[in-house]
This record gives sequence, C-alpha cells and structure tokens, in this order.
Amino acid sequence: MNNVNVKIENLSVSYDDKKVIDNINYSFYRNEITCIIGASGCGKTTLLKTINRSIEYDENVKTSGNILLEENGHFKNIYDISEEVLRKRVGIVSQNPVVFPFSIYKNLLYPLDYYTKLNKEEKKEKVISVLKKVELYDEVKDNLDKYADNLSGGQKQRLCIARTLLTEPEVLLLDEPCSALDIKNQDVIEKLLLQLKNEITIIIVTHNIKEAEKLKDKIIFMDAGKIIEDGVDIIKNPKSVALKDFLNY
Amino acid sequence: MTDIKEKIFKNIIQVLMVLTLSILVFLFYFLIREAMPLFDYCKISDFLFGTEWMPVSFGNELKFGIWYFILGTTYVSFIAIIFGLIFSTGIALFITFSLNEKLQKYIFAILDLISAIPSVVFGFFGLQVFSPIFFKMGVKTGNCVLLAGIVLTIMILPFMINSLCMTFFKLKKKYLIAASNLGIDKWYIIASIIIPESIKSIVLSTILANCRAMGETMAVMMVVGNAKVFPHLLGKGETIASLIALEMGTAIKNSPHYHALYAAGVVLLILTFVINQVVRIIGRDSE
Repeated sequence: MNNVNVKIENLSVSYDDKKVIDNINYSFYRNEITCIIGASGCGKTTLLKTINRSIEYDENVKTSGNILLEENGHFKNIYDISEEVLRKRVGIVSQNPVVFPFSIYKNLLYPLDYYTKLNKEEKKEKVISVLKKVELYDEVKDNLDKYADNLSGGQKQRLCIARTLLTEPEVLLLDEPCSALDIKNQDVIEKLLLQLKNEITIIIVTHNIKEAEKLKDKIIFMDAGKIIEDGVDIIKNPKSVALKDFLNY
Repeated sequence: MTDIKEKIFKNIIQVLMVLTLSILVFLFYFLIREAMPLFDYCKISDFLFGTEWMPVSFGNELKFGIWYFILGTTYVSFIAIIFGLIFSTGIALFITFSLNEKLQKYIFAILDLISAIPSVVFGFFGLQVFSPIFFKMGVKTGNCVLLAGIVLTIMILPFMINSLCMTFFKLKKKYLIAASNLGIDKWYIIASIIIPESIKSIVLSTILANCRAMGETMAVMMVVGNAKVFPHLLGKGETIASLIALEMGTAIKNSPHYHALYAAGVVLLILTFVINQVVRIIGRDSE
C-alpha cells in the first residue's frame, strides 16, 4: 500500500449536468503501468484529464470527490496544488501530438528553459539523452534545427513524450499515444514505456487490447463512467457482461 | 456538371479580380491625370518639400508646398498606430486569455458597435472629452496632433482588436493546452509562443489600420487644429486628407489649386503604400 502514488476517492465528473465519471475510487501504484480500456465515451480520457486538471480547460465541467497525490509519504489533494506544479508532476501526452512552432531542438529546450538554470551544454546533454531515450536521436540528429512540424506523426509523438519527460514528471498520463502510429513506432513507444515504469507511474488510455496486454501491470475496464473490472488478467478472464461484450466473448 | 460549375465560378472570380485591379489602376491614373498639370506651375521638389501653401494668389506668387501636410499625416498616423498596437495587443490578449466565453461575446458586440459609429461622432467625442483636457494642459484651443492621434487610435482599435483576437484564439486553441500541460505559466506561453507566432497578423492588422488612419478625414480634421505649420505633438497641424476635404469645395476646377489637391491625393496614396511596406519589412525582420 505504501507504493500508492495517485489515489482517487469518490470522483464524479459531469459535463453540462451529464455524468461522465460516476463515483470512482481507485489507487494507481508507483512503478506500474495501468491501462484503461473501454468503449468510446465511457469516460477514460475524462478520468485522465481530471488527474492533472487539464479537464478544467473544458467549459461547463463539474467535478466532485478527491484526487490525492503522494508527497513525502503523505497524500495531498491535487486541488491544493497549483495547476502549474501539478502539471509538472503529472505530465500528459495526448493522442494528437502538438509540437510548438520551433525547431526540434527548441521544442525540447522549452521546458528546460522554463524550469532549469542549466547552462547551454548541460541543456544540450539533457536534450540528447532524452532523444536517445525515445529512440529519436538517430533519426533527427542532423536536423535538430529543422522545424518540428515537418516530422512524421510517430516522430512528433516521440518528441512530445520526450518534451514531457524533460519536466521530470512523477506520473505520466498517455491518451491513446499509439493510435495513429505504425507498428514500428508503436513498438518503440511501448518499449520506452516499459523502461520508464521503473522511474514513474504510468496511466495509459488505449483502445488496443493487445497493447494493453503487452504493457499492463493492471488493466481497468470502464463503462458508463464507472470502473467495472480491474486486475491483471481481466482480458483473459473477464467476469462482467459488459467486459465480455466489449471483448466480443 | 461539377466541372462546368467550377469553371464558371473560376471565371467569375477571375473577372472580378481583373475588375478590382482595373479600378485601382484607373483610380491611380485618374489622380495622376488630374495632378500632372500642377507641375506646369511648380517643380515636384517644391511641391513635396515646400513649406508654404498659398493656392490663391491675391497678387502674390502661388505656392504649393505640402511638406508640413506630409509630416502632419505621418505624425498623426504614427501616433495612432503606436498607441493602437500597444492597446489592441493588450486588450486582445486580455479578451482571449482572461475572459470567459460569455464576456467575450459581450465585448465583441461592443466592439462591433464602436466600429459602426460615424467618424464625425468620434470628432465630437474628441472635442468634448479630450480637447478641454489638452486646453487645461496649456494647448491653445485644445486641438493638437496628439489629440488627433488619440481620436484616431480609438477609431482603429476595434478593427485591430478583432483581427488580433482571431489570431490569438487560433493559437490559443492550438498551443495553450499543450504547453500548459507541461506546467508552464500562461503568460510565459503567451510571451514565448503566442506573440512571436502572431507577428504576421500583427503586421497585417497594422497595415490595414494604417490605411484607415492615413485616409481618415473628418474626425482628424475636427481635432487636429488645421494650421499650415510644422506639426508638433502638442501643437496644431494638418493632414493631407484634411487639406483635401477642407479646400476641394472652394478650388476652381482646372485651377492650379485644384490640380495641387489631386497631387496631394497621389502623395497620400504613395505615402500609405510606403509606410505599409516599411511595416511589412519590420514585421518580416522581427519574425
């Protein structure tokens, strides 16, 4: 139990009085990958966006309940943490990667310039190391000063993951990070996530059951805003009718 | 069928384009044709750089120097553009990033209302509200170049704010959430991504606002003082548009005075073009 990193208590979220998350209680553990699966509109992405409060960019959202983040052995409500600090600690990578209108190198420098006082060389080292981590370095090493928007979808996704990693998050939220990628890029990202879980907590929303099976330490199945089933082997041994239906059993 | 429709549409657009360009060329030709006879009476250099304007002789030599009017026009427009840029950028950022959707709608409705106000009303506003303040500050009659610049700023603000807001909204949608998800402060994102990415739009809205500012006649004429002297910030001046509006009614057709006013129109057109190019170059360099 000591390893709990994010604890959700009685969380409900509604858009325009329509409940999207319905009284969820759950704990996410450090050094684990938790995959959230479920049909479209079941509240997976909403849950993810609530954890780092990026849900608040949407209009007419109401949330109730608590999300607690572990901090020096104690739990702190995320609503008692400033949005900036929270989003640094809980990074999110969305389905559609957004690169900033700069060069590849400057995209990665962006969080470093904001958060650190490292010198030029130290920053460069960090950038190269994170590029190697996401296996992008060999592909872009000669084009670091080129406009990032010219990268392919898979490269952009890896660049965005690298940029998020430079903020050194404790929790990494990923919303269908591989949905638009080819198999090669999917493999790279999956390998990276398996590596990263040794350092941080990873929560990933996916539609891809095989991917969930490959990455999971735990899988959550959501339906109509509720967690219906969770565990290690729920794909192999589904209990609920909803999950069986979802998996076409 | 679709192909035929597309061809017809394409041809209509091409015809309209040619028509628009022809109007512009014709306008320029017409102005030049009416202006050229002036140079039988005075040299181009005397016209452009002369400081005396005596279009009716009363036994004296006719003089058509429009240098002070060029300065007056540039001065007033420059003040309006600088103030306009500062205020419109600030207000557009505030509307885009600090107001909720409901308030934004109200503000845009008010801006639309302001843009529909006739310029003569702005002139009265300047005369009634600002002129007494300048008078108390020691400006004789209260009318001056700065006041004309301020009135012009108020007039071009709604247009500049609207056009900047459109750009800021687009960039906000594209980059704000992505950058905020890194935990980065909103104002840092604005300074490092939104403003640099908006330079093109800022330049474009400045150019369009400058066109309005250079040609604005009535409001400026009411508050600039209309004195044919070297324009000072807190002193009187006169713009080319004011000169033409004030004197065209009294100029006898085909007289040197009449041709001089057309020549002044040509200068105003060229001046607008030159300033727009300068703004474009500055914008390109700062990108």
